[in-house]
Amino acid sequence: MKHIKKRRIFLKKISYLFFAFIGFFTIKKFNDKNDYLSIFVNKINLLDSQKKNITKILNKYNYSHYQKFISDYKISNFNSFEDFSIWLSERIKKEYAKNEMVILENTFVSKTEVSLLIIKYG
Amino acid sequence: MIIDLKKLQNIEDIKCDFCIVGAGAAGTILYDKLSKSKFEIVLLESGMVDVDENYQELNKGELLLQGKDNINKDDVIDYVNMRLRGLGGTTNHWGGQCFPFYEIDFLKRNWIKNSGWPISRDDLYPYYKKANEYFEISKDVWHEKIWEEIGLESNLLKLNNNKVNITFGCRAGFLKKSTAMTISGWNVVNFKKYLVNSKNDKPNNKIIYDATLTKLVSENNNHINYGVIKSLHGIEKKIFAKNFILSSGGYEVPRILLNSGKGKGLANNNDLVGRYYVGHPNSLDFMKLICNTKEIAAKLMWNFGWHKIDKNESRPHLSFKKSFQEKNSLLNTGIWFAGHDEKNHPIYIAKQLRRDLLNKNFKNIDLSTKEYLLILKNIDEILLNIKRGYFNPRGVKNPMLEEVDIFYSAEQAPSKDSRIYLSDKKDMLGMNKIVLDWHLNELDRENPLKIAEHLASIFGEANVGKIVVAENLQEKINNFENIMDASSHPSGTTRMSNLKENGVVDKNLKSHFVDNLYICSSSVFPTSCYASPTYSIGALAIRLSEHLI
Repeated sequence: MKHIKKRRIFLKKISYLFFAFIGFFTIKKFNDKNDYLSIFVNKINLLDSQKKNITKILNKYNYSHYQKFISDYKISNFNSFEDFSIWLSERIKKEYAKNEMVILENTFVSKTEVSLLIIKYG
Repeated sequence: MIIDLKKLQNIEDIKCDFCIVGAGAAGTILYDKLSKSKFEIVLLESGMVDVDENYQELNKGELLLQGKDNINKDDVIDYVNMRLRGLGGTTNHWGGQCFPFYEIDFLKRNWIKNSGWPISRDDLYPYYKKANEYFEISKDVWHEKIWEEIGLESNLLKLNNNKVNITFGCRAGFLKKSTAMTISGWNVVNFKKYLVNSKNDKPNNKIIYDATLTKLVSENNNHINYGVIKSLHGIEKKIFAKNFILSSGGYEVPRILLNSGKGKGLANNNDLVGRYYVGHPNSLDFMKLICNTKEIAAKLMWNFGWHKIDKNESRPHLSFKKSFQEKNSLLNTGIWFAGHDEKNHPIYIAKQLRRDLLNKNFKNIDLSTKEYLLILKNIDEILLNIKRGYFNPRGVKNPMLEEVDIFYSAEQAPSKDSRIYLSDKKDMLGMNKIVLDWHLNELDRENPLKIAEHLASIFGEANVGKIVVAENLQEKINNFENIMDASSHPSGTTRMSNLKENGVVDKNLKSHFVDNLYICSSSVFPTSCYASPTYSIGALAIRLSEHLI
């Protein structure tokens, strides 16, 4: 039961990540218009009690797709946070469509979603 | 005429044109169809009119898994209770699931060794429609238009329709009006009624019970001279028939043939009788879907629960497109969704309240204010459930969980090593018992994880939710045989093929080697789809009866 509970909390975190960023569609004003990713990740409200566990899990994974994600993000030129959100959403959708996933805590998660978790906790 | 074998004690031998062995779904349809013709028909049933546990002991067999004895085998297979002896056979307790096999099931697939039927789906499809009369299916629920008729959107969740189909499975048997809103609306057809209430009985046609065919005697293994019938009451008779049709299922058909003839058995010239046994690898424990929101979970359960369609209840499931299976070398697999039974769910509370009111059990009604409020809050959906005859909670405003159970069921890849052979031990009638040596191959073990990954991709792309696989999935897959029931749908043990080197019967279900032997059972399936076999057995029985008349 303990592991089911743990997994549910973990999944909730991933879901929060995703829904939090969808929530940003409505946010129009930012202090730093050029760093949407940091704003997005920093604004995510997650429970800190599981932080150590998440870090431990993420450390098991290599960072190659994280690096690719950061590099893709840097070369993209977003005009608005909405552009960034669409880019992120489409990227996640495409990864799922192409089976570009990893198994994290027995859960299939897209590579970009793992990268977002690494940025937050890694 | 239904008659006990002991009432035929004074008759020297039994004679007929066709002797049908086994009064389950196939035997019943064959008897009903053939008895309307000019031929004299005898239908033999090993059990009594009603299922009697004394006769169930005749089913007992042994089990090996991958060639080895296994300590958990009693959990895996229940020979005694799963297949029933008695008029109607196993339809006395079956689940009633009906849908036709897919086009891909009949094809030779290069990633599945030994696949391919000698007939196509188009050959069999007209007989499915004719079988609806027996299975009490009122409508062609497999047509896509049905979604609009019952007010659902076929692609409500926007799942990638290049990868998956949503398919309805229909339950055999017309619903009674009173079953709406009950926990279980089952009213599944028991084929026994077609024998007991037969209206076209001619005096020379007989349904003989307590009559187990123990042996087919053949001087040269090319022609059956007669069969030996025994009862549990010590009576033994010979039956002389121009043709014998074995319709006693995937275990008993090979058992009879291996106990018959000379040498290594009847119709077994190429050592194929009993081989290519396939079951239905299935599990509810492989994976779960965690929906992104409770509302999505509720929507999923609404769509994938039971629906009342015309006179039947039907339930959709996911299947994978032919092109997608080809591209990813998948076994044909069905995915069902199930929510958790929550006793404090408003629909369940409403159901209980309704039952208590209808049964005037006023003392049982003890609802809290919270429960009354839940019912009131969801009254529109509850009334819609009653109107449409839905049996599972759906569409409520306060869905309970994001988590949805996934039931995995796949065809088994046929393998020559997976087989039934005779044990040295004998049953009460002197027949050798069977040993099932059940083998799964790599394809069967790879398929669950492949399916989990594809489902994760499909649900992720549609933003529905995430697939979580079982903690010890690899261990479960390695011990696949230990965690499921293999005994429900035995198939493939006298497979159909145009070539006698590859099969026991030809495309008309006639033996390649014995000129007066036909087989009509799931044992002739070269591959088994993931669907329950009975509906396809029924279609084959109608096809055979039309071929014979």
